[in-house]
Amino acid sequence: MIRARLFRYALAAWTVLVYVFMLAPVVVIVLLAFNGAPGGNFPISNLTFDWFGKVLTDKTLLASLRTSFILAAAASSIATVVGVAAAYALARYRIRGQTVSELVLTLPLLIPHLVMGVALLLSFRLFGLSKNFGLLVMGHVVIVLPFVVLTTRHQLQSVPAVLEEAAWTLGANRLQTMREIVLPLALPAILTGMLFAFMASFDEVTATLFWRPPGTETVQTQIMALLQFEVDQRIDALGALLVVFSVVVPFAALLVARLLSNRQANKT
Amino acid sequence: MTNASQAAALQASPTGRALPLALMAPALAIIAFYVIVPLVCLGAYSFWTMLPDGTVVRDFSLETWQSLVTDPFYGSVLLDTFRLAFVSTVICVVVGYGPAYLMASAAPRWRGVLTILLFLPSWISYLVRTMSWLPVLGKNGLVNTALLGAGVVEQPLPLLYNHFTVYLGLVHYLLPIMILNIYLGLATVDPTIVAAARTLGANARQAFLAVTFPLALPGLSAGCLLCFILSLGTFVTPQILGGPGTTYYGNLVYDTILHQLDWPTGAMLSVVIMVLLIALLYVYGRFMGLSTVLRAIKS
Amino acid sequence: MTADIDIRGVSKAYGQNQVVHGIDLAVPSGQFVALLGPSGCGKTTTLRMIAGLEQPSAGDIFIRGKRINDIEVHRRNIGLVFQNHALFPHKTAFDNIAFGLKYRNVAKPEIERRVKRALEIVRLPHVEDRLPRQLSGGQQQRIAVARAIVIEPDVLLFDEPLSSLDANLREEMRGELKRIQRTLGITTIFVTHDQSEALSMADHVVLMHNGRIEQAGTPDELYNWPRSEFAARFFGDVNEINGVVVDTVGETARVRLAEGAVLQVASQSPLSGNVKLLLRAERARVVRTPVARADASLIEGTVASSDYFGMLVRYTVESQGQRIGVLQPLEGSVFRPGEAVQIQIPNNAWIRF
Repeated sequence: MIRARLFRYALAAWTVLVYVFMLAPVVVIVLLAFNGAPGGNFPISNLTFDWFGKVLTDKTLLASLRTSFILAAAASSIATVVGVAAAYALARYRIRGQTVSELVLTLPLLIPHLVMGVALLLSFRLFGLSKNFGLLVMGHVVIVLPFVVLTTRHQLQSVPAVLEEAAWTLGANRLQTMREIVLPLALPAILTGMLFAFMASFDEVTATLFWRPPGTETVQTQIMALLQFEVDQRIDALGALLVVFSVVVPFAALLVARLLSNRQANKT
Repeated sequence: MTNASQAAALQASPTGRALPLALMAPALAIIAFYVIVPLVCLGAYSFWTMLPDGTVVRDFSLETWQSLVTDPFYGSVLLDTFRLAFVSTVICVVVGYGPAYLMASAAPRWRGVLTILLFLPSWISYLVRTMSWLPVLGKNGLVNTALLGAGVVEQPLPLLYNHFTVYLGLVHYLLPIMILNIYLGLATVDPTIVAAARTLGANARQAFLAVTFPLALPGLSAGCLLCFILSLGTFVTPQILGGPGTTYYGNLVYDTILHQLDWPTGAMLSVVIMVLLIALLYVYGRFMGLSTVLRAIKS
Repeated sequence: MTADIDIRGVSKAYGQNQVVHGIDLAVPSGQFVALLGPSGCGKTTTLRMIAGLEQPSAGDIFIRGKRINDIEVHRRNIGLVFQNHALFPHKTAFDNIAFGLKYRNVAKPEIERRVKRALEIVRLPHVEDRLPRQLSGGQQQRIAVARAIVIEPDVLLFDEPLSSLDANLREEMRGELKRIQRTLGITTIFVTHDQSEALSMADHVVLMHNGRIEQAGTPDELYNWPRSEFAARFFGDVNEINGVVVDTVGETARVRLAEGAVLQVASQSPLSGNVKLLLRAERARVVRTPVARADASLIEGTVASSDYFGMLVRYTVESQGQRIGVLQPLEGSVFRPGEAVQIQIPNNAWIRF
């Protein structure tokens, strides 16, 4: 028995180490963002918000933030509309070629972003197209589409088809049933999928480097550029902001979801 | 009433036949245009050649492919990348199995906390996570400052911009994915089966080896597959954490396309990696069944 | 007279699998019909074809004289109560019931009136604002019924609505559903695999087997005058006894059993050779002191076990090399295992095909 307890403790200690390993560097960045000492890095002294200020007033950085947001919003919206439709078809119908379709829809997950970047770029060339923002959006749509399809499909399958049948027998046609029954019940999954898609697009680096029109930078490509040339504290501040963003948003989403379901349960 | 009969019912009603195809068409079309067609173009480009002045000769030729064989550089980069993928995956398994096991056998309330802590890093942008190693390992970084301060070394250690850093950064990125997959595999093991083994006389270690580990294998292999795939195509990690001496496949392709503007070669290299990946998936699918991969991808 | 529901030559096949083989059924207005049968017999498929959730591979379905094969589900004026109530989890009881009325362009005050009336009919007047998950199983099923009747459908369909309820609730609901149907007078088809449900609730029972109608008639007809072995065995507790005809005297045949006992079997058509005889457990009687009668046979046996059901007792008697089940009211004390007894069977109790 004692050996089992020791094993447990050792395992727990190891787990703590591993988790620290995974999280620590990020903590470092966040801390460094407040570092007022010249020359950056360690040791940390003079806690200051200066770098954040520099980031938030830097026109180029702000422009790249804006680009990332617009890109992610556009890509996730398109992917959600298209992906939810496909997920519904997959969940409810048994069509010939279903497994093939599923495979095709999740294909982008298995292709390295590097290869996607090269392939799409080359086809622009081949078809005589020049890089533009629209094509960049579509590229991102393709990358994030599998997230939407997988999340929604799974949830849709747990909305029993019998509820739709009940609605039909009561007189609602397909469209009305979709609106009144399926969508409200699948909404949590749809929104989650959209959130995943947004974050995935926001974080995308490699393929974006291949696709972006000259003069367009996303936050990620901007950071890459900064890292090549000038490593100053602005990067840390930017990084810290991104960290906060990527942690706060999912948590906020979770909280909102929790609140909504509580409110529904407490209605009378 | 089973879902299958319901699905059949929906399919049979008059308006139901065209509908599913219409619903799926946009998604499939987008993938066809923006993934499948480009991949075909990729293949086409790899069979063309680029002349020294930069123009591309669009006639079928194996010249570009030949350089794969004749130029030893490509081969060595490929080998390095394979080694990177393999070693990183193994490290992730060794490091990550423990935490995954702990998570799977933890009480539900702990499991929730651990899961969130596990997801936390993966929500944070890949780029930020990778670059966070710079201030840790840099000349004025955390490690060196601590070591210098403690008097262990007299000069800052060159910890950055070499192979070691790339491996470290990659493992750091892959670890949550591996842990998650192993955990999912372990979570599917029915605890009553393990209990049965124990009552039949197996001690904890034997029960684990004979029952838990084999049953959880699909999760582990899915994790390995994913990590391997991600490692093969990795670009950002070597780019940021690597130095002049470290070129991996991702950097090679990036360089070839965007700096050397040698599109046929870049295409050829991309095709190579795609072929390898497909071979990998095929072998994996043969042994494990692809559905496990799809399940594992759902973060 | 036009039947409310008229099914003619309807078949359904899934690929190679033929589930329903050309059945005909006419249901007069206001009748309560039970579609009865074991799982896989095609009863649910038939119901779903009437509702429009499945398309017949062949044949026609008429409701009130109008052919509805090509009319879509949401345009047929049909109320369907599902096995698992299928209430919309995100809507209150009121909204669930009102759902169908919204799509019939009924004005709001009228909706309110009709929903309240439906709730009264199912005897749940005060649960309007509750969500389905806040209701018990029985209440959920009642709301499902209310939802189906409030739209004043031409036809009311039930798909095994009571099978997910526990036994006591089921009994209570049987009475409720029958009462509701009587009150409203809607033509009703009730699918079930439970023969006692069908017998107690229906005006007319349609027994299905392997996609075909085995027999249709009143509960009395199906129980007492089965026209096939399947029909006979489906209801109640049935024994099977094999024997050889020895001779026939008038309308009574004498049949010798395995260990020599001889039965008297009343039969309208002549019997000869090997026969298989079916006997309902409640037609036989286990007696201690037999009284010989001309219109009954007596065979000896030993009580193997007895199951006490309160007012009834079921004996398993070893006789003639087999076990015979007998169901009878309790008179005096229970026969105990090992007791030698006689089984008395009236000549006309035998069923034979």
